[in-house]
Amino acid sequence: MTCLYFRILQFYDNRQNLSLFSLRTASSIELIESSQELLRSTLPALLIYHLPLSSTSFTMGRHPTTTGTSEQISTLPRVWSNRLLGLFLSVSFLLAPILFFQWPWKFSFGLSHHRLRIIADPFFAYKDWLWTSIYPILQRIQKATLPSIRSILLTAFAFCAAVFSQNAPVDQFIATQYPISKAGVLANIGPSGSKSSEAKVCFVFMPTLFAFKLKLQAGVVIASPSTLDPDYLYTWTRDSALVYKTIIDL
Amino acid sequence: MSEYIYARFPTLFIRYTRGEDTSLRATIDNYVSSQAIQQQVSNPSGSVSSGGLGEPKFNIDLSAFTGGWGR
Repeated sequence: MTCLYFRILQFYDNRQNLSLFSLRTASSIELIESSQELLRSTLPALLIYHLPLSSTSFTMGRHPTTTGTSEQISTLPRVWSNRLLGLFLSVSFLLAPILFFQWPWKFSFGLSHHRLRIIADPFFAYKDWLWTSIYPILQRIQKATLPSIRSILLTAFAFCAAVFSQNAPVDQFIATQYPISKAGVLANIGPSGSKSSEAKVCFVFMPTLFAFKLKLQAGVVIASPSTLDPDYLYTWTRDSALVYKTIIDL
Repeated sequence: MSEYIYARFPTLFIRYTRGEDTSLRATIDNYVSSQAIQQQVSNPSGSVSSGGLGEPKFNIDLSAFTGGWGR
């Protein structure tokens, strides 16, 4: 891609009798070198990141169970399609500033410029290249100052880095929290759940005011084992249904 | 040992082919049977045929909750 970019630059430079190069030599050379360095340093990292490191990455797109070990736990499973999607997104983050500069240019100045004779943009100096589609992009980038180019690319990479760096902690948190949450949900379901069993035992020693609630039906989701301040040992229909919807989705 | 393997095989098969956890099946069946009981309980909102299905709160032995609760 960088070589292609350089060839295009050379092509247009030859056509214009090196005037472009003489005008913008330092800027374009620095741009080429910086973009080469940028691509050389980051593209392998992107490619390596999106490669699956082990066969356990293929988890059929479902949540693994608590008994399964060393499985990839994520709401977005890292199958090949998602890896390709991530690669596509990262590349499009890189191309986004270029497209961003090309798109309004094409529609505002590209087609009607030679008839209206309006030069609204001081950057557009080469009227005879109106129909070459790639040139306004390169020209826009070349005419921009180097710090702005750097900031655009660095912003794009900051986006990529932010997205990628959030994946690992989120996955770690989900891997840690998933069995805990699942056990917590199951603990509130009678009669085998640990919290509901404790509630039952507590009720044996409770005063007779709550004695009628001794028998906990199987499959009932209790709201809380707390029986005093507040007394919450009841079952709510909607909450039970939502809990079981989640359980079935597991 | 053989019973164990035979009992575990469908579970593992379903888990690794469809990614589902069948160990929760008993719990879900318990919920279905408990709902079969609960939805026929006459409660302050009514009976099965007269709006009793909209009752939000029950005791944990699935009898109707008759205390005051926001109404």
